[in-house]
Amino acid sequence: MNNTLIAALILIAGAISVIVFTSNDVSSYGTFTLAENSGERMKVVGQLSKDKEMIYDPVKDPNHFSFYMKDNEGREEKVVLLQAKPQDFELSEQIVLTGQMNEEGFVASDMLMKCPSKYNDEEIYIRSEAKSE
Amino acid sequence: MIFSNISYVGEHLIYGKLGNLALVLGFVFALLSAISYYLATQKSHQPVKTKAWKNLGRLGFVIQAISIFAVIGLLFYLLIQKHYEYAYVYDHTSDDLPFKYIFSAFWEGQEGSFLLWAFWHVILGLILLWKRGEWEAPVLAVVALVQAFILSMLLGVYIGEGTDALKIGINPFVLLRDTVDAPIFSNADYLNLIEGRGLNALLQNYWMTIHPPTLFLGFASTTIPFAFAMAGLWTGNFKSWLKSAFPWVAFSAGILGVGILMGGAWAYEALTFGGYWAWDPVENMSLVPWLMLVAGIHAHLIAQSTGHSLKATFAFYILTFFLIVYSTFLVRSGILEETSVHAFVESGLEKQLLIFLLFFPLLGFITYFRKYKQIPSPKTDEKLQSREFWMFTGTMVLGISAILITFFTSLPVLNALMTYFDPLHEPMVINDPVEHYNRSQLWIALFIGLLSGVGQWTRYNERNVKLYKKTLFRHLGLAAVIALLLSYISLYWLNAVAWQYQLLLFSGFYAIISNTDHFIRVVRHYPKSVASWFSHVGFGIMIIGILASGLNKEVISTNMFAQQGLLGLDEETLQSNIILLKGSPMVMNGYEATYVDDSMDGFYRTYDIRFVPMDSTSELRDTFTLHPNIIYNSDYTKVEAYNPDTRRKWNYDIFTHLSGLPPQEMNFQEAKNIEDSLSYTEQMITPGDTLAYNGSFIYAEFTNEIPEHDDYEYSEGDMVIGLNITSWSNEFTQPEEKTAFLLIRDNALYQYGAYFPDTRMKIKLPESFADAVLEKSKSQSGSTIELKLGDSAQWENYTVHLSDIIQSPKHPEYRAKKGDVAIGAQLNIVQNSTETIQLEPVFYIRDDEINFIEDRDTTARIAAQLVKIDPENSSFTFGLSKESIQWPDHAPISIAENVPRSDYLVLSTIKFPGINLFWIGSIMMLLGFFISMFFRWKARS
Repeated sequence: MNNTLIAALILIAGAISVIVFTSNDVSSYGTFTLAENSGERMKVVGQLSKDKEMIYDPVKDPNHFSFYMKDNEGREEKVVLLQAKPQDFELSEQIVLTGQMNEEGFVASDMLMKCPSKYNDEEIYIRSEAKSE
Repeated sequence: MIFSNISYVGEHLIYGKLGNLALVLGFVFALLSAISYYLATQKSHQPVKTKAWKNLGRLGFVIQAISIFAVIGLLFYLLIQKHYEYAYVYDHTSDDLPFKYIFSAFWEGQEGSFLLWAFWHVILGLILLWKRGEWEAPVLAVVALVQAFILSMLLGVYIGEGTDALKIGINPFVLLRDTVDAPIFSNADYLNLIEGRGLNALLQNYWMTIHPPTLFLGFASTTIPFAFAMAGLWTGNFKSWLKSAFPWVAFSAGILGVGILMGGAWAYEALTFGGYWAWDPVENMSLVPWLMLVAGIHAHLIAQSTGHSLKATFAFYILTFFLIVYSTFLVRSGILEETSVHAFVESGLEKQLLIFLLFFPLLGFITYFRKYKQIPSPKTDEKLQSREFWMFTGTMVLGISAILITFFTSLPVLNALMTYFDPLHEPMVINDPVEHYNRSQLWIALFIGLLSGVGQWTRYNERNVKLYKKTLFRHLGLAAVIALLLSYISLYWLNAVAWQYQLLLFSGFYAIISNTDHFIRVVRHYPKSVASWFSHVGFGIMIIGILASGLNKEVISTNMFAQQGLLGLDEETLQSNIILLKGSPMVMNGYEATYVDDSMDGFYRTYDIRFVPMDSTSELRDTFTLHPNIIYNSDYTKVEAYNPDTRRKWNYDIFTHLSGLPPQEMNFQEAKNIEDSLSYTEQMITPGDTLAYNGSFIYAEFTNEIPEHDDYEYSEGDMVIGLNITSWSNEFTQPEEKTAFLLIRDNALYQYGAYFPDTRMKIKLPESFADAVLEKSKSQSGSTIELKLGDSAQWENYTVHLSDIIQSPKHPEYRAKKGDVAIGAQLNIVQNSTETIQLEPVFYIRDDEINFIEDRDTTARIAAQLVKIDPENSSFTFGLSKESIQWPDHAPISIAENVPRSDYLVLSTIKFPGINLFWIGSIMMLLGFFISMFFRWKARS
């Protein structure tokens, strides 16, 4: 067998072991129930409950933002995000939280939101001068 | 709604028609050029025919080039002229967009960025054409074909009828009224009523002017190595293309790298995630073609020197181009929408992109495998001691890195495929992408660092290592010892606890030392090696920079008193934000920070935050002020973007951005809601005396000086009446002094309140305050005069002349109503025959009731009222008064308590030590490619 082939095989074995070792990094989205039962840190997808209260009082604690979210199974939970309230949060269509469950609710350290693109709305912007006439 | 029978006013349809014509011409001639060049290559045994076809190919390419320039010129013209009848213009610009961002607007959308790509193909193609090298025909055949595919994305033609029609391309010259259904298009003059949506605030950054063109030049330039490789396979000249292609490949690797790096610089400067690389899918997919290309360039060098790795060189260049197209597909098809912050949304191009994605790799690999057996390769094996062995191992490591990143970034594609076969498939995601990629790519960087050090010391085609062995091992060993020592020393500073990081650190140092040692040894005989020295040492420095800025990253904005221990989450996320109250210093990690002030300029609000180091050894000059800002949208109703600001020192950066503001500062509606929810109580205050109010104290004095107020700007003729108010809660607190006032401008009254953060009070002056002050003042010097039309009379030292009587008065306070009998009188009042003051008081009868509207000149402080009309004598009686302000003894004020604070900001500050090593290292690495290009270009001719 030639040297290059041996090197290639070693590297491929290395690559496969990287995939195996990091396979735990990949999972499907969890739910509140799953997070509660396992107690593990996971990603949960859901929608913001827009009718429930959202509390962010930076004067008290700038790293504490609480709101309610409904996960894909329809279970609604209080969520505590340990960050500042993100921009345009109310407009979010979908939220992906990373965190775990405790007595206070679902405590998330990270959040991704999907917001409607500004190019999606089919509304025409009218000149402000024209509007007032 | 289709308003087909309307002839619209003010549209400039000719530009769109010309643009579409040019697009079609461009597409057709790109195809024609590809076919001609193809035939020129195929008929290479018949020189006469070849020449004819080649000339036709050139002609086609040049016409295509002119067409593309025309398209770009027209689109720019429409954007600059703000012709909103075109959807692209409407979507990407607005009246207030500064000219310098027109470029960003041009390539913000899919259409513009495809045009940019096509533009670079034109430029690169023209250089190839102008050089008239022996590879011109086959290479340009491929380039023109790729170009035809890209231009097809912009055609915007429909094949077929109705809803089943197949749409090819998205056209930049589509009219707004053809894309959006809105009742406004029933108005023939709709253009006068609409205004563009403007450019995304995050893209209003100078990096966005240069990053996209550079990145797309990088994208376009990868077509050239691909085209050369294809040409080599196609013509059967498997080796001779290597030399001609090399400068192009080096250029491509350099410029694509610069494009990616600029993206990182933009992210670091304009985004708030705090870093230059986030392993975002869009970033990953621009990195992987570059990795593949760098692998290719190394295989290319081996092939040129030894003949080994030739097959790999072909494969790497085909794969590079495949990854470019795949990256385009992922970013533009909308499939990454969920996992990336900056992918495009769906646009209807998916199928066409998929054809693009399948066509070229298939073309490439089918040709490759058909010719595979014919590609020459040496019978001998790469020896362990030879450079070709170590370099090739390096290319494989780079290739594997690209494959791993591509695989994990493609999870959304895999999910889409799996869901197609199994609708119940649970989509898979990477839980923490940054951690995942850092952990797996660490090994790649480690191997590359080590291999680059070892590879330099080995020699091509090494047969007899015995003579050389001693030197080889001495240098390799020495470099290892020095690198070990340096790593050990730097661990005192670098926070690398994990052994993996320590290994990577060693690898970085090893690359620097070993390459430098080698460079010193050979540079005299072989000056070209400066290129590889730059690239490899740059890589080593970059690795150390990544480790330093990542591992020694320090959150400055932490509060020692914040709640801790929630679930054992890392403290960093818990405490990375801190609140700063305006004017009061806050102690943070190593600094005392103060929110000093903020100021508005256009849509920007800039905050001044002063940092004083707490370190006892530091001097006053170490104090610095950072200016993060926010951008409001075009009507100031909400914040569109937060821009960070960074203090750059040679050995560290302090990166800071606002992560929150009071709701009333961010959103106009919120401010209105809060203002509406306040309940004001009216109080009489006696200026000069202290008023005790619910545990707080208020002291006020009258003022009519022009005050300073955040929301007020002086304009000529303004009249101000107000109070300088001092408020404090008890004797131990610092009294705060503010001005609350009423502004009289053009006969309208504006209220400016004063907010006292300490006592949480807001004080406004009610309208009755104006009455109290002005009534008192007026009664001082009022008098009446009777005038007929055209008459003049003396009043004090003025001459009052009644110049006209009008039936429909234009006074701003008069709102005409049906049934009104209204008369406006025009008075010209002259003092000492200098300036004429014109006043127009109004007299009207509504519902049998007589009303007067006073007119007032705020500069001269004269007011006139039409108080009586005598129809018999046709005379008019006016009440005239000169206002000299006479302050009353008491005046009303309105006080609201428990007003939500609006004088704070939420701050996030991070220190990145050694981040400059990352920038310097990466720039050096890329510079190496350009140096190499320069040497090889010279050597070629």
